[in-house]
Amino acid sequence: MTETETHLQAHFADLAKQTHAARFGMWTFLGSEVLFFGSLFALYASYRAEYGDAFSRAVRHTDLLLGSANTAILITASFLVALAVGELRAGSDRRAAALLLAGAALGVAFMALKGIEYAHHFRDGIYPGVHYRYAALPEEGAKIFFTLYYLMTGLHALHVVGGIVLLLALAWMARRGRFTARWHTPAELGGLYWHLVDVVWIFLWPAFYLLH
Amino acid sequence: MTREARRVWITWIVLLLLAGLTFALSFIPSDPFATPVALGIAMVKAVLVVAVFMEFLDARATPRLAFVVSLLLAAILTTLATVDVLTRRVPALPPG
Repeated sequence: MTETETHLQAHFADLAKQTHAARFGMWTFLGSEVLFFGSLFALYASYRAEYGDAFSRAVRHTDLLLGSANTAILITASFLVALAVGELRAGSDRRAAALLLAGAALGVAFMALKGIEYAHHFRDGIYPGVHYRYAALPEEGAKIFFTLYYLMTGLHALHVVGGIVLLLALAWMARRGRFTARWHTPAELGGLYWHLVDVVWIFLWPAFYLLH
Repeated sequence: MTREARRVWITWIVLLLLAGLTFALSFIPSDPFATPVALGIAMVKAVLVVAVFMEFLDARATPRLAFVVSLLLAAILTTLATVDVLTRRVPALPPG
C-alpha cells in the first residue's frame, strides 16, 4: 500500500487537499480558542479599569520568579516542538520523537511550578471567590483579581495538560515511524495547538505578574 | 542546519531576550509607560510565535483569514468592554 493510499480519506481528491482541510480546521479551532481566552482578557481589562489600584497591589502578591520561570519554560517547549516538526519534514523520526518528549517534559515542569505557586497561595488563604480570606489584601478588587487569576491560569493549565497528552501521543507515533517526510499532519496540527497555549501565557504573564 | 531550523533557533533566542527585557523592566518603580511597554513586548513575542513557530506566513489564505478574523473580534470585544466600564457615569437623577 502506498503512502497516499494509507493516509488519504476517500472523500478527498488528493493528500494536498486533505492536508489543507485539516490545517483550515485547526486554524478555525485556534480562532475559537482566541475568542475563548479573548473574552476572559476582556473581563480582566474591564475589572482592571474599575479596580486599578487593587489590581496593582495584588500583582505584587503573585510569585514573579515562578511565573517568569514558567514563561521561559513554555517558550522553550514551543521552540522544541517547532524543531520537531522540522525534523519530521527531514524524515528524522527519532530526533522528532525526542524533541516532542522534551517538549512534554517541559509542560510537566510548567505544571509542577504552577502547583507550587497555587499551594503557596492556598497557604496564605488566597482562594477564589467567596472563599478568599487573605488578610494582607482584604479589598474587593484583590478578591476579584485572584478569582480571575485562578480562572484564567487554571483554564490555561488545563490546556497545558491537554497539550502534554497530545505531545506524548505524537512522540509515540513518531517513535513508531507513523509519520513520513510527506505526511506528518497530526504533528503539525498538534504543534499549532501547543504554540497557541504558549501565546496565551505570553499575555497571562504580564497581566498577573508584571503590571503593578 | 536548514534555513527553517536556523529561523526557529533565532526566534527562540529573541523570545527569551524579550522575556528577560520585560522581566527587567518590571523592576522600574512607578513607570507610567510600564503597561504599554510590557503589552507591546508581549504583542511582539506573540507575533513571533505565530509567524515563525506556527508558520502563519506560509499558511494559505483561508486559515489565515479565519485566525485574523477571530483576533479582530477578540480585540473589539476587549476594547468595547473596557471602554464601557471607563465611560460609565452615575445617573444624574435618582431612580424612581
